[in-house]
Amino acid sequence: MAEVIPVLPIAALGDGEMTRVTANGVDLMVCQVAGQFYALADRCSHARQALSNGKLSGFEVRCPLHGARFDVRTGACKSPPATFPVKTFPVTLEGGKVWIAVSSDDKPPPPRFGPI
Amino acid sequence: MTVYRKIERFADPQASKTPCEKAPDPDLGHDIIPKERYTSTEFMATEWDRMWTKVWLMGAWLGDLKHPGDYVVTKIGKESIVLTKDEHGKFNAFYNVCSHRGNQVAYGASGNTDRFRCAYHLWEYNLRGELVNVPDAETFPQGAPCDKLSIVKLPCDVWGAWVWFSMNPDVEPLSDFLGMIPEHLDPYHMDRMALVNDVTVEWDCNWKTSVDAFNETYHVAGTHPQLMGFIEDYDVQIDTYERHNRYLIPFGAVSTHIEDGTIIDDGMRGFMQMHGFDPNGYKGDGLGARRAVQRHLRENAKKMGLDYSDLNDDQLTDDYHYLIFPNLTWNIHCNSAMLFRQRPHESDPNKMYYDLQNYMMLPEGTPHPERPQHRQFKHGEESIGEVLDQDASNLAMVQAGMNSSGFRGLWISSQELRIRHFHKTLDDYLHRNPIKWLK
Repeated sequence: MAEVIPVLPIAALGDGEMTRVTANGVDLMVCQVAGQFYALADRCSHARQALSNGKLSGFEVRCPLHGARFDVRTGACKSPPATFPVKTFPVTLEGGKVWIAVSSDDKPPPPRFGPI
Repeated sequence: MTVYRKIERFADPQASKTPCEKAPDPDLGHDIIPKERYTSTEFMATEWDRMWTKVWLMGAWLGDLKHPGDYVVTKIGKESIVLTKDEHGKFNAFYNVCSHRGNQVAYGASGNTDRFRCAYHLWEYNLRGELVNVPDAETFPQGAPCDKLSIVKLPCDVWGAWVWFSMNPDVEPLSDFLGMIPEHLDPYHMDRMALVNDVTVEWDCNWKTSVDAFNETYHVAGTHPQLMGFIEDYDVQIDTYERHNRYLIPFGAVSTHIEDGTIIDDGMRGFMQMHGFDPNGYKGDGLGARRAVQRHLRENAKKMGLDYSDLNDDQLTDDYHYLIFPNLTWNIHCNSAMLFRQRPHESDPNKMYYDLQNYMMLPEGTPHPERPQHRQFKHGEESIGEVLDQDASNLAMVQAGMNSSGFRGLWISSQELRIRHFHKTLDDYLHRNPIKWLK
C-alpha cells in the first residue's frame, strides 16, 4: 500500500537538478525539470546503478555506468544497454515540500544469479 | 599489478567424485581470433558441413519422452528432427520429412502418436520413421516399397536426462564424444531434477557470440556489477579437456575485485536465504560466508530432503560451469542446473536461437510440477531474468562490431581461455588439422 511521504523541501532542488531520497525503504531519484518534479526508482533497469549518480540532461537521465538513458517523465528506456523502463512514482507539492507516493513493496528484490 | 585475495577451495580432490583438480592449460597461443567466423555465410556453410552435421547434439529432455508414442521435434539450422520413444521403449531419431514430396510429417514441438501421417497425401510412418502405408501404391509404376522409402534414421542415444542425436551416420559413440562429461556431471543426478522453465529467445547475433558471452567471468564486473557481492569473478579455476571445458566459479564469496571482502550485501543475503541459511543469524563476515553456507547445507541436507552425498563441499555453493561442445553451456549448482543451448539460424550468421532451460532438484517426496509450456520470443519482448537480460543486451552490439571494418578480431585474455579452447575445437572440426588462427 503506497503512502504519500514528504521527502525534501521544494527549495532544496533547483531546476535541472536531481538527488537521491529514501522513502519507505525505497531509494528514489527526485528531479526538477522545466518547473516540474519527477520521481523514479533510483536504480537503472539494466544493472541496478543509482541514476542519481548519473547525468540529467533535459528530461533524460543517463546511467553513470553503462550510459542507458531514461525519460524522467515516464521512466521509458531511451537507449541500450537497458531494455526495460524504470518505475515512476506520483509526485505532489504541498506545504513547501515534495511528496511521493511509495510503498515498501517497491523495494527491489535482492540481486540473484538465475531467473528462477 | 593489483594483487587480489585468493579464494579457498574446500573440496578434497581425493574424495571428490567430480574431479576438481586443475587440468593443465594447453598452449593455444595468443593470436587474434578472426571476426569473419561470426559474420560470414561461407563460414556458416562450412560449419554446417564439417561440424554441425558431424557432432552429437542434445535433442530432447527425457521427461518429454516418458511414454511409448511420445515425440519431440527439435530444430537445428535448416533441419527439423523427430525424436521418439517407440512401442518397445527405444529412442529413435529421424529427419522430419516425408519421402514422397518432402512435406514435414511431425507438427508442433511435441506430442504422442502411434504413427506420423503426412498431411499432404497421407503417407504413414511408424515411431521409427519406417514407411508403413502408401495410399494408391499401385499408381507408382516404379514402386513405392516401404523398406526403401523409410525416413533417413539418425544415430540416437541417451546420457543424463536427455536424448541425443547426430546427423553423422558414422559418428563415434556418444560416450566417446562426451568424454569426461558423465564422470564430472553424473554426481549431480540431473535426471532427478524437474524442468521448471523452458524458453527460446531469438537473438540478433551469431551463435558463437552467445557461446563466448557465457564462458568467461571477465565480463562480470562490467556487465553484472550487482553480482560482485556474492560471486567471485577473478580467482576462477579454468579447465580445458579434449573438446569440452569448464570453470569453477566460487559463489557465496565477495568478489576479490572488491577490496573489502568482509561486506555482506543484499545479494549475499539473498544467496544465503536461497540455501535456507538465515542471514540474520549469521555472525561472521563476507570472508566466511561461503564456508558457512557449505557447512549449513552439509549438516542440514537430510532435514531439507536433499542428498548431497555425491557432491564435494565446493559444489554445494559454487557454479560448476561446463561447455559441452559445441552448443551447450551449463551453470550447475547443488540444487539446480541452468542450461543454455545455442542454435544457429537457418541461413543468417547474424541471428541465432537461444534456448534457456532451468532444472530444479526438489526435496524428496515433493511432486514434480507440471512441465512448463515452451515459449519463444524475440530479445526485449520479455525479461529472462536480470543477469541474462544484461548478457543479452551486449550481444546485438557485439555482433554489429563483428561486422565493422574497424574491428580487428578478438583479443583474448587468459581469463577467456575457454573461448580460445572452444574456437580451437571448432577449428579442429573445420580444418581437421592443428589450429590456424590467422587468415
